[in-house]
Amino acid sequence: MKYTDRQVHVPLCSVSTTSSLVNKTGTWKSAQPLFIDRVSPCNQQCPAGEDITGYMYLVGQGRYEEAWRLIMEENPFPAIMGRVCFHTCEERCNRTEHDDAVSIHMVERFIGDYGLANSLRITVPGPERKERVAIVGAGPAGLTAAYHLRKMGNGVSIFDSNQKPGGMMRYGIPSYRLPKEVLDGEISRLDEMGVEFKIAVKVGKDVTWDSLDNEFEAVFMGIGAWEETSLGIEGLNKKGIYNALEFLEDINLGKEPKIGKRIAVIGGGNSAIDCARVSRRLGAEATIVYRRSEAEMPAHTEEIEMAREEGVRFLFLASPKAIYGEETVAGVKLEKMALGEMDDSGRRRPVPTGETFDIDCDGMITAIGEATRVGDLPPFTSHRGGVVEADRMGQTTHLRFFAGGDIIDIPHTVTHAIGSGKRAAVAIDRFLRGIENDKDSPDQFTWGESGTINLAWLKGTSLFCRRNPSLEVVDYTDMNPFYFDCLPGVKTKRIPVDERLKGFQEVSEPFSEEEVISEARRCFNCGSCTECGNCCIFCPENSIKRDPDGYGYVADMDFCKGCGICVNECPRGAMTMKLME
Amino acid sequence: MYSLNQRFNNQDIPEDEFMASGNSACAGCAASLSMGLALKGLGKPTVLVIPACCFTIIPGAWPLTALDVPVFQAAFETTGSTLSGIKAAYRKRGMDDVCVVGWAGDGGTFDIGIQALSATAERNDDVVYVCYDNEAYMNTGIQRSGGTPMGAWTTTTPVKDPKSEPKKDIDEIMIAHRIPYLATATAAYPHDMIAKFKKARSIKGTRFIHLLSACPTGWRVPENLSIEVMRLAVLSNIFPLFEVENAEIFRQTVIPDEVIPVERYLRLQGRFRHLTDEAVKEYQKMVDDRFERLRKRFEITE
Ligand SMILES: Cc1cc2nc3c(=O)[nH]c(=O)nc-3n(C[C@H](O)[C@H](O)[C@H](O)COP(=O)(O)OP(=O)(O)OC[C@H]3O[C@@H](n4cnc5c(N)ncnc54)[C@H](O)[C@@H]3O)c2cc1C
Repeated sequence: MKYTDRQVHVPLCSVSTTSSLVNKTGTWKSAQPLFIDRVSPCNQQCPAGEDITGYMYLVGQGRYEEAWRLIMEENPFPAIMGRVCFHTCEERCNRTEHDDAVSIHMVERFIGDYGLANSLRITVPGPERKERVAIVGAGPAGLTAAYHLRKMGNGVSIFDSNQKPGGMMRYGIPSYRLPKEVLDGEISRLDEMGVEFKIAVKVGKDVTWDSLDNEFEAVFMGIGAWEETSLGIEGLNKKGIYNALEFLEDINLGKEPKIGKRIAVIGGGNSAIDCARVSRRLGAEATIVYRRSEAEMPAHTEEIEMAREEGVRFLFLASPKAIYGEETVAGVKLEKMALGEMDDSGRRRPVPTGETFDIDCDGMITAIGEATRVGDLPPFTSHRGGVVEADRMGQTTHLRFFAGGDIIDIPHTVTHAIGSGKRAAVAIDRFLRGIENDKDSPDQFTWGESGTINLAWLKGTSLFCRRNPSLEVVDYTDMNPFYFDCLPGVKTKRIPVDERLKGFQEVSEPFSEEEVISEARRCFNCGSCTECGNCCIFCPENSIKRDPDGYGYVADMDFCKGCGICVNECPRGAMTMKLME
Repeated sequence: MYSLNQRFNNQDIPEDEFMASGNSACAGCAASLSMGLALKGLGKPTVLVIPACCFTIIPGAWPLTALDVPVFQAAFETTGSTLSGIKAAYRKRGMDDVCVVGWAGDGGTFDIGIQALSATAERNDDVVYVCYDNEAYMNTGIQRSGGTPMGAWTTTTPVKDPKSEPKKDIDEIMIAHRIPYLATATAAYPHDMIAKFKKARSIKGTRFIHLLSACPTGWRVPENLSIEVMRLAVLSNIFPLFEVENAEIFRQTVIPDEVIPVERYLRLQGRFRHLTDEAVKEYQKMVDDRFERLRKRFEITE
């Protein structure tokens, strides 16, 4: 500056010369602001316990590898997950009340693909302890348990009766939704981490459950649900009739199942939709026959939409009574149904009307649900109709045995399987170390009712800094929506229908890098400080400063008068007022 | 880095701080926040002239001061003439680039100081005059001023007889002086406010900045909502943010995405609690009419 302060000074009779900093106005307050990290509804919803708000923050800044590592703290399969997860997180996104939900799954898919394209690796030291864990079933539940146990320093062997690992992700889900390269790429990382794969070994046949019980310190079971529920009518052994799992397995093995040109698919779940969509790709007409109405269909709405686009027809409120045809199926007799009272699943029950009608077909696929093969379960774990009894962390009645995935009482999805595998890994690790469950147990520290665990949060070592984690969930009313412009979301693009029907090419197109960044930046990062600076700018006391030791801000309680403006102006609900005693 | 609050890029806010902690404003006072932001925009060398108002005491009682710039305490009615005098003295000393800034409340501007202010503006003296308008004599106990809006409760316009006259339109009065720069601003829009102070500093002649400054005590709003209430004033067009150059170029600097009903602004505040739905409707019409008059002039410039 050109002048000294003294030169600029005006001569006066009485001049204030002492800084007001001696006046500790902090004593005035009755409440104080606190920086906290709340749980966003998407994170709470995620059955795999991912830190979505955290990786959106990193992706928004182009920090892809860090974002990938943040996901990998929780879930070993981001590229798979971005494709097949039903993304219930997006239904809970606070942004839906503002404009559109953030397209979380497309960002995750981008990050997963980034990891594959750049061959990103997770390095782990060799097993630290002699205790070894057997994993039975290399589906998403078993693979995830193996991954986390290996990361925690345990030796892991994984047994699977199939020729290749992946479970339903390989033999159920068709490649137009999950390309095999993606699946292989993500699973091969486990190989590199030193997980021992024992493939084409059926436990209970090739090796006994007893021998695992004796040889291993702990066993995780994730053998999935591979028994197709029978329709319970006659004539199911006619030619041209398949059950969904056989049919999809053939397809996924590259075989061409002998199926007709007009196919009736019985059922309303995701496997019914997949069977119908595959049939269209084989050049057949496909009609889904479902005994309730569209509103009750368990299949995901986006899947239903894509099936419609591909020309799949739907016949609602109809249930098969008999199958026509001599050797080969030639038609189905259907009974008209009506909707009755609510059943246990909260959907309206189909009730027979007695009225029947026929449809023509020369192929039929039954897809009315999958259950665990009871005979494949070990004799010593208790189960109810194939649903294995386990506590919240997956421990069964036979204490050394843990379970997860489709064999326990959770929704049958890849994401739930992953979450259950992670929970069981935590429980097994603690079991091996002889840690008793107490009030600090991981099951006390779960996000939301589904009991998902976020490991980074649990360990306090997230790449996205969280200093004062709380289990409160942030809703839209905790946000300050003024600070977020309304920006419509990027829509997922799909390849044209005629392209789709030519083969098994992936249907949904990836987002470009710009689209991914723009989606990630639309994320509110609910409940977490992103260092936006509002608290500091709006503090009338000038008492909020950047934290000199690292991330975020600190409020100087010597001067804070407790007005609470910072809390009101925090865009994302990452602050709260606490009354003082 | 992208703007992490998605609306404002807070990285643009200057780091300079010329107002320290430890001031004696009430909790949630928008005036003390406004001063900090104004000085970020003005920078140094700056001298403040402050007449009787809340800001006589906010920086601290003698011998304390929260301000890192010199302050001259003026008599209530003399802000305008004191500014002119101090500016003349600096010019005489060859220090013409010292920015001389008056900082007065609505009482000291709309009522008691208007004669001296008008004279300064008429001479187009090279000073900045800031009125931080909290819409009543807050420092002496919430008495009605010319800046108090119609319908508001104050201790001298009790609920059974609230203020029946509309707020004096100080902006039009100052525009009529054809000064080189006039702006309205509020701390709820800090980027806009800082930009206006920067601009004011770069212009010669009398510059007038009218700040809306929430007073939780006098407006009867919770302390944590003082930014919120000022934001609603802008979003409802009660206090549109604009600037006027040479009484000719009118520019609205913040255009709300969506104009909200004045009801939301009024109902947040205890001082308007007694207003009937009928009165709120009339209020809406008054605000709409005033904004319409302004809007026409915004359009002419485009
Ligand atoms: C057609 C279809 C489509 C689906 N689409 C989706 C989707 O889009 N999104 C989604 O989230 N979910 C989907 N699901 C559900 C999802 O695939 C399953 O919920 C999930 O794979 C269950 O994982 P898991 O690890 O429990 O079992 P599985 O994936 O079933 O894996 C079990 C593994 O155990 C092995 N195994 C079984 N018995 C033995 C034994 N005795 N010894 C050794 N190994 C054994 C099997 O070979 C298999 O590899 C779909 C399911 C189907 C059928």
